[in-house]
Amino acid sequence: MKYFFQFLILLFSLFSIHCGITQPVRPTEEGTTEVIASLGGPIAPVGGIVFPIPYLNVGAMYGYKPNLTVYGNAHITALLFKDVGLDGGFSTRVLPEKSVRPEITLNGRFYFFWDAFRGNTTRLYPTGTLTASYLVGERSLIYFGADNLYQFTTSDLFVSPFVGYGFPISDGMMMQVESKWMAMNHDTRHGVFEGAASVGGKGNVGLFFGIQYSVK
Amino acid sequence: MKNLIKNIRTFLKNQKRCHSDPDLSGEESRFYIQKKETRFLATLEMTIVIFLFSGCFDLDSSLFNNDKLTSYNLSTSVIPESLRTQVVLLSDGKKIYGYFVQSSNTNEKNIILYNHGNRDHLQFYWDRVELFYKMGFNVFIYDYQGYGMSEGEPTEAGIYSDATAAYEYVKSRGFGNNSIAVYGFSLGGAPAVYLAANVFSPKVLITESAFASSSALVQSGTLLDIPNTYVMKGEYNNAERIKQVTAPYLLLHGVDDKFVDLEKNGRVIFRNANDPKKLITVSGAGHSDLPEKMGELNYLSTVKNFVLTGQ
Repeated sequence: MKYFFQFLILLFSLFSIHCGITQPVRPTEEGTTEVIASLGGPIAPVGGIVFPIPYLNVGAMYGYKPNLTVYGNAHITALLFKDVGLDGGFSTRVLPEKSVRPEITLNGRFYFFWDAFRGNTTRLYPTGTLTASYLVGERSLIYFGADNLYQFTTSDLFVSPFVGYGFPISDGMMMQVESKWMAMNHDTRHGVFEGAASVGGKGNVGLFFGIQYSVK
Repeated sequence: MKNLIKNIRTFLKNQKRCHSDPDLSGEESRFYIQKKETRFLATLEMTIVIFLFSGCFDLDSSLFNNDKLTSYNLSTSVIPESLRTQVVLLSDGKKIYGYFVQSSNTNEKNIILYNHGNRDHLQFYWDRVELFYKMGFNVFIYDYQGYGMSEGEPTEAGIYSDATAAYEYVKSRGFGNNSIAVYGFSLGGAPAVYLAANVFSPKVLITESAFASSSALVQSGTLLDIPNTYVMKGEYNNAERIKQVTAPYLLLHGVDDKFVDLEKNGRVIFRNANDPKKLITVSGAGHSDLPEKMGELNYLSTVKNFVLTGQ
């Protein structure tokens, strides 16, 4: 079933739950524009090698107010299949970091998919994310939290906890590495990832890499 | 928002200047970093452009694992060479290959028309032919376009055309509709159900580890309610097509099938099927080991009895 297995892996990577890294971890500076990109997806064995399936998003975020960042992404991998994949949302600071308390950020986002050239159907998934982050040194961030994606047609909630690390690689550029347990509350025991990256038959683990580049 | 657009424009403008004017920053180290960043972003942009213009894909071809052969090398340990005949048929103008296997009982009137799975050619599935031979039936197995020695490339429409050509051949050998049992394994469930729904009413229809539709496959893979049209052209809609089948129907499915989940596929097809119908689920069986997990003797007697009696 070699190809059949890869077929299912491809499917999962194309529309995996929460198909991107957590960006922004914290609201960005007011008036600042950052180009962002995210690459990664579920960890899966293909051809005997286990690696994260590459799902590519690119977009931008903008510090609209001191406490409010808006952003949008285009899903490049989906475009390969003539599907329009977009997401957009906002991020706002709920609590600033203080002593041992991490900064708490609330992130609201909509994922939108449209198979414009085949079935002409659309899908919309709202997502809410709470992220806790600590500043390490001057500019690095350690963060953790959970995505919560809602599917209207089946009234399902997909919970995906994550942990990540963001660090500067130059003056204007930050890199992020993040691991996410995607759809941890859903059974994948009989699914593609059992024995590969599911945890106890639930969801599957993904690995993501992100880049933020400050335009200003 | 005006600032956002302005910033992006400035960025793109500066990027061009970086490429053309190495003295732009005045500080070599800063310029070096900026140049690296610019290169990175230029590469990213180029990657996006390549993605956008490299054409568009679908996953239909990923369903097929169609190794080609220049000749078949079939085992003779169970079926003597004298009882098998290689057959060349025409489907959509392409040559497709098959084998007719004569029952050891010359009075046997029934034949199994076997539609194999997505993996490999008929040689790979020869052990299944041997099982049907052991039941005492005549058997016909064929390769879809692009499989084994068959010409062309596999497509959904192609496998339906191939199955129809196989049926026409079986009929031409004197087998009436009420002596043809159609059997489909996995992907082969699609042409099997197609034959029984759209081409003729067979004596019985049997599917093993068949999927409900490409939508069911996509949704099993993504966990989301993504329609099949997002990634595939093919429908393979066995769950809908089975509604038109009036022949007695036996559905076999492994409880532990990780590729084609029983609940979202087998049970869905079975729910939509007309009576008379029979469902056999096998604990411990995966996608392709159902006969072994069921026990060969049990499998042989179950299938044989269903072909003979429809029960």
